[in-house]
Amino acid sequence: MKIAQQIVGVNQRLGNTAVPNMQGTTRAIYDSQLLTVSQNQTLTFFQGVSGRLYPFANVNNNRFEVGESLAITSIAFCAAEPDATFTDLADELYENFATGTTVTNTILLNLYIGNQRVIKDFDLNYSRFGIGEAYNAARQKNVIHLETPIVIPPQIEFYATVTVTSSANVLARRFFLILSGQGTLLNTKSTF
Amino acid sequence: MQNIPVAAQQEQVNKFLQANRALGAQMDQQQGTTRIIYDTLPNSGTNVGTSLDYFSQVSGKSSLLIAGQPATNITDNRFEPGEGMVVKEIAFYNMYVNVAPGTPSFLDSSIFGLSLLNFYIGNNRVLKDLPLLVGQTTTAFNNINTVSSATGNSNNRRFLVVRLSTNIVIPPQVQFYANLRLPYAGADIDSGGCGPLRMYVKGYGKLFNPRNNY
Repeated sequence: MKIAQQIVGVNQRLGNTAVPNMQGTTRAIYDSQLLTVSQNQTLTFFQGVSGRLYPFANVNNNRFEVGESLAITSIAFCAAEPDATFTDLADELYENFATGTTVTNTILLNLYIGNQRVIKDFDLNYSRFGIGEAYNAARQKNVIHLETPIVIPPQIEFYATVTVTSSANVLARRFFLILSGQGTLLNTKSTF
Repeated sequence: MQNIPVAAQQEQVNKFLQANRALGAQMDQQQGTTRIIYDTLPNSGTNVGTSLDYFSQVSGKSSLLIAGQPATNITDNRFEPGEGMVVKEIAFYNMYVNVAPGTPSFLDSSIFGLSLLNFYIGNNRVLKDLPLLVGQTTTAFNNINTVSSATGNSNNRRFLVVRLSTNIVIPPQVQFYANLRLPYAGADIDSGGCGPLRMYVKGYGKLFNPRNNY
């Protein structure tokens, strides 16, 4: 099944029959949270995102507007450098989560859409080993491509939790969770 | 690599023809081609800002030189009759001239990735707040950047490419422009090593050909 068909199918079952006429697009949403201490912590992304202004998030609500949806095909996770101010172009975004480059931490993701858990204890660290079809370990270190798209329909709340289940070598810094894939935008008349 | 240009091309052709037919522009007989269009904004001195509009003011800019190079390669932000293109890749290039002691900032690893791109075609927003993180080497979902080099002035670190997962058609005679929202203040651009910023748009296209095809 094509991704577009899955978006349409999910929305039609929810009664959103106009979605096939919406604007197809490439969509990516992100939210960030500060790991305040160098130890185990569970971060909740997208919930309460209205309180995190740009550039800490690029959405202002944890549910899409009417006509908008996203089929998540890949998930990325990265961290800003510890002293990043987000006002200087010299601030870097890193793939390293830990103080030791040879040590990797277990980072468990749970994704919830409309009170249902659609991703369960998913180790985001998997991508850092460069495992998978045709993926270059030197690139895309923090990207996991899903085996099946997960559709977030419009008007349904969603949020994600990320648990860093490891020891004191986790750095206290701001972490970014990025959900990307094909989506739809509200288009009242026509499509390009 | 995730990119399969030959396979992708047929999808681009099909959507291009279908979208144009819906608009009443029969373009099946026109010349198929690959198009790359660009616009450059000075992004320095008094021209800094946290919001950059590309392609909206290209008229008269093709003869303007920025960093010694033509600022744009189009004369209007809408295509002529019989011409059009499919937006498949969007790239940004930092044209900072390396004069001591500065070095160009790295688009593919810095907070430049938090910049949000919006693309408009005919008053419709077809890309909404797309973070350029999706083109950076460590977090891109469809990465076509080369591997970053540690060399400060290397081209591959000045460059950031996003390959879209959907095809977006720019039909003939319909205006288009893009807006880039930057996460940092303008004053930091010069000190951060970011000079004129060029935006590229690449994809399949059609050129007007009144009689035949090659």
